[in-house]
Amino acid sequence: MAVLPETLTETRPPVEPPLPAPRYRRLLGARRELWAQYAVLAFLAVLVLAPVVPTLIQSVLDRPLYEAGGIFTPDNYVRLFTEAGFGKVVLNTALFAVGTTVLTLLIAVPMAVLVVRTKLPFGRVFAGAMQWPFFISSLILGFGWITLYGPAGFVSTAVRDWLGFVPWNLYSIPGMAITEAVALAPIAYVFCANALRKSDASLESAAQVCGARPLRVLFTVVVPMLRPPMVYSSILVFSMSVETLSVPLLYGQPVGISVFSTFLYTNGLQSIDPDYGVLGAASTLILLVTVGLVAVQAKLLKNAQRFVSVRGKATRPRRLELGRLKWIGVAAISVYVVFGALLPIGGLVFRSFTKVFTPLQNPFQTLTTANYDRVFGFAAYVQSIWNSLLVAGIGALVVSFLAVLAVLVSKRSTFRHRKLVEYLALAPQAIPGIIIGIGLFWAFAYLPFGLGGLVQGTLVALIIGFGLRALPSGFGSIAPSVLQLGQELDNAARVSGADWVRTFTSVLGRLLTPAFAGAVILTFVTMLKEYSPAIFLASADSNIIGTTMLELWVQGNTGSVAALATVQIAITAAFVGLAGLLMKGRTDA
Amino acid sequence: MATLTACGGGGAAVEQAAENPIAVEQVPDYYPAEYAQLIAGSKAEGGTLTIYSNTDQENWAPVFRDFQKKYPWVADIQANNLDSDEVFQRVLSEQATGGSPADILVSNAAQAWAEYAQQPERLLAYQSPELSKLTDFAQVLPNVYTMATDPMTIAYNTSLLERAPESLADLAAMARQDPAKFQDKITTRDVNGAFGFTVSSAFTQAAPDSWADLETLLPMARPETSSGTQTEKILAGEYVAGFFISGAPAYPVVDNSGGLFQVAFPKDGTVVLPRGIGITPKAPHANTAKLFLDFVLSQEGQRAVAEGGLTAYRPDVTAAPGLRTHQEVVDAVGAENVIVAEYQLTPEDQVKAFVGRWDGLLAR
Repeated sequence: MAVLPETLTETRPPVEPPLPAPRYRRLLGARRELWAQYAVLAFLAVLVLAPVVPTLIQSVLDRPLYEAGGIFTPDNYVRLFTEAGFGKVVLNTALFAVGTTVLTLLIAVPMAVLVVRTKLPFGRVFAGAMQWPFFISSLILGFGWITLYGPAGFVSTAVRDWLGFVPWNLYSIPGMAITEAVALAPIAYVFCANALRKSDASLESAAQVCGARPLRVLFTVVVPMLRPPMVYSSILVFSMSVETLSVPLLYGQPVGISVFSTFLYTNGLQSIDPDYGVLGAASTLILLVTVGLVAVQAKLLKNAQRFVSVRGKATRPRRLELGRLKWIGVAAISVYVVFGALLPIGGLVFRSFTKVFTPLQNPFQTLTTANYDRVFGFAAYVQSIWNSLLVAGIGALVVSFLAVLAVLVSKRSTFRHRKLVEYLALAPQAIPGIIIGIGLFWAFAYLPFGLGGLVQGTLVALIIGFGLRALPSGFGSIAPSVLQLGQELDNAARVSGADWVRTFTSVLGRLLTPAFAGAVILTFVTMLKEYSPAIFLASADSNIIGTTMLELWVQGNTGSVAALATVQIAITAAFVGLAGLLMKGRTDA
Repeated sequence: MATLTACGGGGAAVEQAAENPIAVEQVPDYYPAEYAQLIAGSKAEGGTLTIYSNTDQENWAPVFRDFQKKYPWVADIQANNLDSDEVFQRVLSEQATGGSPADILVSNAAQAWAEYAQQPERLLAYQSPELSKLTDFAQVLPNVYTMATDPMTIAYNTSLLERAPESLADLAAMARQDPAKFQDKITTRDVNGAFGFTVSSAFTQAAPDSWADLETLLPMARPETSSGTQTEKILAGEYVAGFFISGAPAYPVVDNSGGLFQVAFPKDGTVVLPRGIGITPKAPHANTAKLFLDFVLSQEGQRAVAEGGLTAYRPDVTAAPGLRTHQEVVDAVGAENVIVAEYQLTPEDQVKAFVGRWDGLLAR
């Protein structure tokens, strides 16, 4: 870098030599950053390809992978497309996913702007409350919604007594989309809120100086700055709704609305003769769709430079004063929090203390702690709570670290394959959890030297599977923050002689701490809720809360499902509360 | 964690079954003399047992408790609770890739069992000495024994249905009288799933005339994929009634609901689904697995099975409070109306024909 040619120094009068530039060792003639970057690339590639390759192979095999003598054939695809009603399935999925994404953004973006950038009464409470729905798996949320808003729900019954009819139908694609949007809105909210907290106040000040009113500032300066987190979160939400199973299963199955995931579930996991080939072919299709989405995302975020707003000199953002309009905001957020989350979660907690929960009978008649006795009475169930904590705790740290590395390599380096790194980090959203489970199961089975036996069925396998699932969320939550750190910070470090690795360890690392912590919280919660890969990766002694809930649900022990869900919510709330305390006062980094 | 003391005024307390007497390390006198070697072999296996099942921990608990009482060296029993088909998918993929830890498979997915067992070398050949003491459906396939039976009931919400439907025909008659009340308010099991297919097709095969009633009921019915959802929604009043609701998950709801949720055995045909149990060919603890298999078929074991909430079918196990037996079903509907579902592989065209006819009737 900054080594002066020696000839110059001889001809000039000696001056005070500047501090020597740091010297970095080279390995095999390559700078260490290259090693680091290739290591990240290789690691991600192995991780992502492990479940994908068996899936692709399965999609063109005429029999289950584990049966010898498979023949390559395109039959599975032919069967998939000629399967009666598959066109309808694709259409339903598209409607559901688009509806969910639009509704999610409609909920999340205004709320993030209101909570973070304007003066709101109870702003702190709302900031926390906005994220509540995120703490429960959509299986539980869906169940809570049914008990309230379903055809025989508490709220529906009350409305019917009052109006004579129920003006909504939960068992429809809009109903599914609203529930899923409520469950996923916190993800989009977290992304947008993080970006807004970082945004540069000087732009707003400039607008105000030019005479813009608060609303105008919001719409012309603040909201446009949200494009990167919006694009990220909408892609994420879209992919999640393409593969979510619980809500479509609860709402759609009884009325015959089939989406992609329920199609996979009934044809692949529940069917009389599971057709792995069709499962593989369908998953390959999802893969194509989501890879396409990631490409679109990359296009949309091409001029990411426009969104740089954290410069070397940051000022503390001031909150805007909206005047009387703020009460509308308060009302809107309250409706979302109370009807979307608080009531269903409250109902759920209440459900866990009753034997029967129905509008037809006073629930106070059957108060009991039996549901908790059952959960804490069986060693297998208690073990599953510990396992979940272990997997989510260790996994969150590992995944967030990996996500930071991936973001830095893909967004902030001159690495030749940086785009590939980004694709790899985002690729897991394209793989349904069930497929990740089966695929990794195979990958472990084929590991050389019997290494797979050490991993198979252990918590390590779960951490790998869940971590893979959580990686895109981690990446997506860190990337916008990195995009907002001005390039001149790196340049300053580089000019001072730091190499790429050093730039990040000493300069950007500090600035990234809040984003890293945010990613840890996000991935912890995601991994605590996760269950689908575990269906194949867990064994009898590595069960987690999710699989146990599913077990109890299928057996009809709804009260215990509610109890376990309450335990899970309590754990999550405690964790997020603690994290919030620890992060207090560091958000302005 | 806040704790609440349970207030009285709920449903009648569920009666606890009396203690199950267990003869420690003693086997009945009709067992062969060489059984002692099996017991000695089990002692040498280190006292662990791994079961892949689709059975609830609660159903297992008394069985494990009494088995460990009888053979105290079996310290550690792990029971996976998987989806009914998954039990086999999983064990097959493990066997294909270097050995499975599973000793015993337990599932009530008849089609999946039949498919799994049609290939040779997938089960350990074992003749249980208990076989002579059991009914004719104790062995559903070669080397696959019946651990328990599960009757398919009509479940209904007592606050919405003034009297118990006696049969499917009775339910259809009620629905014809008041179509508005029953429209979209009946639930049945999705026949695209293995469980739903087995019980529904067994019923229509045994009682072909019932299609007339199904033509009334199915257009009003909504399919669900798990008993849990069905019982919960009947309880909530979203459904008035459901048919082919599995007894095992429904009984606890009956006990807990304070009379709001009831089940009835349909008199025009009650399908009974056996729960199959078999030993894997390369079981790491083969001797302990054999002991366990004989135990669940023995009088002591069947009592424990019933205590766990499943239905015991061994003739010399009598019903008592908290113990369900197959005899109850027979007494309720008559032996000629009990349809024991068979563990047979249905050819694909028949599956398609049945599912097509059934789904065609559903209001979708």
